[in-house]
Amino acid sequence: MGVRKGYEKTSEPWRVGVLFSRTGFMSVIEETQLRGTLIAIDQINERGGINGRPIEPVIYDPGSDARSYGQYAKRLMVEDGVSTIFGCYTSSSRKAVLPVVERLDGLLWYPTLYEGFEFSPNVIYTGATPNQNSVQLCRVLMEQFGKRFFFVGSDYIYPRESNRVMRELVRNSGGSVVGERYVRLEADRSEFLPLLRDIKRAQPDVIFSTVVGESTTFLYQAYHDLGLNPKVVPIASLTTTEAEVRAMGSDVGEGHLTAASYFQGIETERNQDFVAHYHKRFGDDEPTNMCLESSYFQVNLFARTLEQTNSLDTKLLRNSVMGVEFEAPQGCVSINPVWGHADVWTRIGRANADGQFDIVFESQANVASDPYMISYGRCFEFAECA
Amino acid sequence: MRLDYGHDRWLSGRRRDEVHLPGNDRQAKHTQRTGELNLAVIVERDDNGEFLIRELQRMRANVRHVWPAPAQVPLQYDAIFCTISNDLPQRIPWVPGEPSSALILVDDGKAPLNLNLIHNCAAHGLLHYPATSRMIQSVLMLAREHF
Repeated sequence: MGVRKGYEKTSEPWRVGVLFSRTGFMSVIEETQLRGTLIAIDQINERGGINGRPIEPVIYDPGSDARSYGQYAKRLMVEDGVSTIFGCYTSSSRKAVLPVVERLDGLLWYPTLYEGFEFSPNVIYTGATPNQNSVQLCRVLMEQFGKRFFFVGSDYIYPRESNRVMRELVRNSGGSVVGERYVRLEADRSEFLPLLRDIKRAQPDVIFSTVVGESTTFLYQAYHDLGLNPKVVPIASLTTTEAEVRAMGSDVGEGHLTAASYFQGIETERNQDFVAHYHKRFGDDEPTNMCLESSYFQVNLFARTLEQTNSLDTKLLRNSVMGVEFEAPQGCVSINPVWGHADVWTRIGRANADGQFDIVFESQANVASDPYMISYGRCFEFAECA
Repeated sequence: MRLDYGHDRWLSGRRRDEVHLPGNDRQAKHTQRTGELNLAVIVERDDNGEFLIRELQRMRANVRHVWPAPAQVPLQYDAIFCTISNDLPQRIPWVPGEPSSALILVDDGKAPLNLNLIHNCAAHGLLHYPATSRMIQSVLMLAREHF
């Protein structure tokens, strides 16, 4: 494919769609994803844009309603003439956008960890899949805390599918799942105290949580109110980031574990610059998190690709982004050409009293994405972890 | 009156009655199936529109003519024939890729061809005027299959 630099004489902006919720029960985390996206766009534009043309985001707020994501995706593509969309946190919102981008040949850049077992030629996935977080988390939990797991999750596709993967890992590695409960996505505080009492009665060694959104705060606060000890029975999560810990209070989050490709506390120069820039713009008490970081680096991967293609054509962009690397705040990441998913790092952090995570495990390099867990047996003896 | 309308009608009727080809059972099946279809036809009732409606009725479909074009394309039909207009994508109530009905665009040839508009409608078939009986049957069958 030829590089077509210089062909375009226009200074018209590159218009891209942005779909993150600033309102509703997912706004805590999605607001940060919006910020990550806009920071990256601003930085690129400050450097002169892509081939002399700035990136112009067309932003809609789907209000945490999955159906609205589909409708706004249609609006972006049909009315605004946009073909590249950055957006979505929940899998249900991604699933709502999927038919639209597939039918109209758009390209969704999805910056959130998810349950894997999906492939679309119209999506670039830049969050972690289970082989990049669940496998190592399960191993660490079984080695350090015990083999009795209790699963609690929000009732939608991501928790149910993540728990399916985790259940296989636990059972095939000699552990057991002593309970599994789901709460509504919009579950309120009152629903968690009886749930935590049930969990306490089941006496698990670990609580594996896939609760997302505002409910995350209520789960951890109910745990705290019951006087349970995270040093003995921690809540382990794939989605509780610095943003959620800030929302629940760092005293409440302290001691619990999260597996993520990025934590604010990563001690590299690249990350320190990133965090400093973020703090300067949004305030020192605003933490960064993994979803914000992947929202940030995916725009940079897009920009690097667009520089080569000089076209927003979906097929050109998708073909060209394969194998592209970027020195992200988490370390070097790239788009895996087999899957169109990002090769990201695996890390496990324990929340500290400052609302940050102390890193207790880190892969040696980025881990090849494997959304269908093909290279992994369903137990650790066969797992090829970095 | 266009000659090929009558000619086409006459041909298809004669073949069904007199010629036994291997595909005839299948064709009969399709005809039978269209008899169970509820169709909306959102077109102007000019000669072309009249012919389209009559052909669909001849195929034993339950046809509902809707005109002028409603603000929102209706949902409760198995297939919808709808004249292309610039605002049609906004009047389609479903999101592309998750349609509620098979959608067949009708191009009356009056406006310049707009491929981007056709793309944005995410339809299952396209019928150009002047249509023939054969074109109408084929596009309906294909649209139903692609739906």
